Amino acid sequence: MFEDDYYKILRIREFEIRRSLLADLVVRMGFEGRWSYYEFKERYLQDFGAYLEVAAQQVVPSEPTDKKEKLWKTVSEELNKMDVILNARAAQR
Amino acid sequence: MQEIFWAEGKCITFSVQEAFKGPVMESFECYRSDQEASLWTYVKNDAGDIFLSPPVVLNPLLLKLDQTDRGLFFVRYYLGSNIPVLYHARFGKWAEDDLAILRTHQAAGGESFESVWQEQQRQQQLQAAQEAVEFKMFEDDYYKILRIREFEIRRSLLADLVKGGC
Repeated sequence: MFEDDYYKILRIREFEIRRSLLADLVVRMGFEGRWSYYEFKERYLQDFGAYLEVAAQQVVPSEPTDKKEKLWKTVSEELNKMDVILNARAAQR
Repeated sequence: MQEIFWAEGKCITFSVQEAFKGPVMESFECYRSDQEASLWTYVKNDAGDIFLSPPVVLNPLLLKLDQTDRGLFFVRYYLGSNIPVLYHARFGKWAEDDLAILRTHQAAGGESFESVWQEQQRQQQLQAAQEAVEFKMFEDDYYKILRIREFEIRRSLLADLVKGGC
């Protein structure tokens, strides 16, 4: 039991470290908060909306094409998954 | 040869925020011509030269103009006349990009547009190279963080194995 508790504590620490490193990475990349499709879509419409109106086959892309923004999206998804784990743990208590 | 009638032509009034060519005005009027897919314009200059200008296909953006539209609009005289016509428009990010280069050109005084454009291209290439280096660093950091998780999983599996073996 003590050993199990010990490993649990270690895992919590590593989880927290990873979470904090990912959150820090988002800030270092110059982004604020997590990537959201809604905000991406709004931005896209503001930048290129006029061109979408005249080309019927053109639609808002489902994900960013910019490499840095793609990484922001990936990191944000990882953080979202961690939130789910945290919430599940909190519910178990 | 025949006279042109723009049955669907429109007179458009613009409020000007920034002008990059011609006299500075608070507002001005120009026209949106009709689509002229089969019409060759007859032009004659002061020297007596005569030529036919090929049909002009209107940019679809110009057909969808709305009162609330803000953008960068390009106006010129209709060939062989002094009628100002709208022939191109840029909106959103592409308008901002064009505005940036036009502002730089205006601030540069006598410098040619070509050299201003080339300098901007050079700056953009430098910036892209710098961003690529920066991105590689961020990507490496991300994979390092992922490896922490793999380490955590591996250790947990090993711990389970040790327990299972006891």
